[in-house]
Amino acid sequence: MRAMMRNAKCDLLLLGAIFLSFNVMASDCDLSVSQTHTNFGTFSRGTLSQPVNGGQANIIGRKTAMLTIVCPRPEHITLYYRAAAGRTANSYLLGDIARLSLIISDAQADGKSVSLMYKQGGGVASSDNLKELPLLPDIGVTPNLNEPVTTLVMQMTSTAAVNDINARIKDHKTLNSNGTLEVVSE
Amino acid sequence: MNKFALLAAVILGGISTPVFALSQVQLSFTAEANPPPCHVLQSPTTLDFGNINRNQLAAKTATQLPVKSFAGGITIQCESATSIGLHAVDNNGGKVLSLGNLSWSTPNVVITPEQTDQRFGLGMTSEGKAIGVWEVLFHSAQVDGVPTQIGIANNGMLDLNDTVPTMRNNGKAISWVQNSAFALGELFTVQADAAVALAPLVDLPSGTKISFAGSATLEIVYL
Repeated sequence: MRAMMRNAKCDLLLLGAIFLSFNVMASDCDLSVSQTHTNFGTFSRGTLSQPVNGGQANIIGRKTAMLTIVCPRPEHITLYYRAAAGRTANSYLLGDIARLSLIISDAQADGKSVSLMYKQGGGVASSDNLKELPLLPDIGVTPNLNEPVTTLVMQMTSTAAVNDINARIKDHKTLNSNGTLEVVSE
Repeated sequence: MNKFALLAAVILGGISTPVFALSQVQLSFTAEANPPPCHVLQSPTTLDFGNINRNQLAAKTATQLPVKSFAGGITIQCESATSIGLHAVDNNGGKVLSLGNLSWSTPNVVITPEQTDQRFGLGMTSEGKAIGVWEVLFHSAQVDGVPTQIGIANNGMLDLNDTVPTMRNNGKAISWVQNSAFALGELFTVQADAAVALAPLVDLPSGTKISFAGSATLEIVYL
């Protein structure tokens, strides 16, 4: 009889484990991006932007896209960008002569404007608390909120710039950069 | 650890650590890079060496005619700063006179028969002999109004061991050079002087008038 009781408890725990794993599957958030392929067009040295009032120079182009994250229930959401190829401390390689920077801004959590902050591995958030933040390699961007959210809408501005104005462009060449935008919810 | 303890550890482990869920979207970014367009504002005109009498030519050696300058030289305007060179193709790709030097006094340059990459043809006689040879010397180069040196680009790289400022027929290009590198700018100018040498009288047909012409096509290359 004692042996039978232990088996029944074991079965109950097994059901509990199955139930928990079902909840994990159901917590997936849906990430959608208004533009997954961004084409900055054709440029030559003459079409690059000139520095104005100390602003960024040699810009090939700037494009924006909307990111929408919808979760089936309130979650703590963090956004990452994983570049497929090379990167620098705060940007990603675009071919061999240019770089790409990604800026997250205009975040709205469940319809309310929110500021953003960085979140690194281990769940430690940095002190940044701004309306816009560069999406840095392997560092997450998350709303500066204590409570979880169901819907998070953000704008992503991608800016392509030539590394060096003296870069030799001898022939037509295509510059590419690929990566994965990733949402982690908990 | 029995089955119960193992299961409890799995469940407790699942509860005590944060539960992560992932959603991913692949992104791609592209841009197309092109060199800036460059336009030839002034190209070398035709040089006419006129009628040459036989008594002006040496009997058994090549005879060089007086050097002539292309009026106005060459001017190229690019739509933004870039580095360019000029690549030449001999339109008379046949036989080139292999006798005699070609020389200029300012700057002092001599091209010998062995420097075949710097000798262009003037056509052939009916007997298949070269009528002569010609070459262009470049000087007084400027980029955006600033004097520059003239260098030779070999496979897109500046050849520091080759400094003779002459037109090439072997794929090398002449270019504007500043501080041991290809000059960067928008307005490129250079002056050009042509030297022509004719074959010995004994190798030219007698009694008839011989017409000859040389030409080369210059192509802008981006460096």
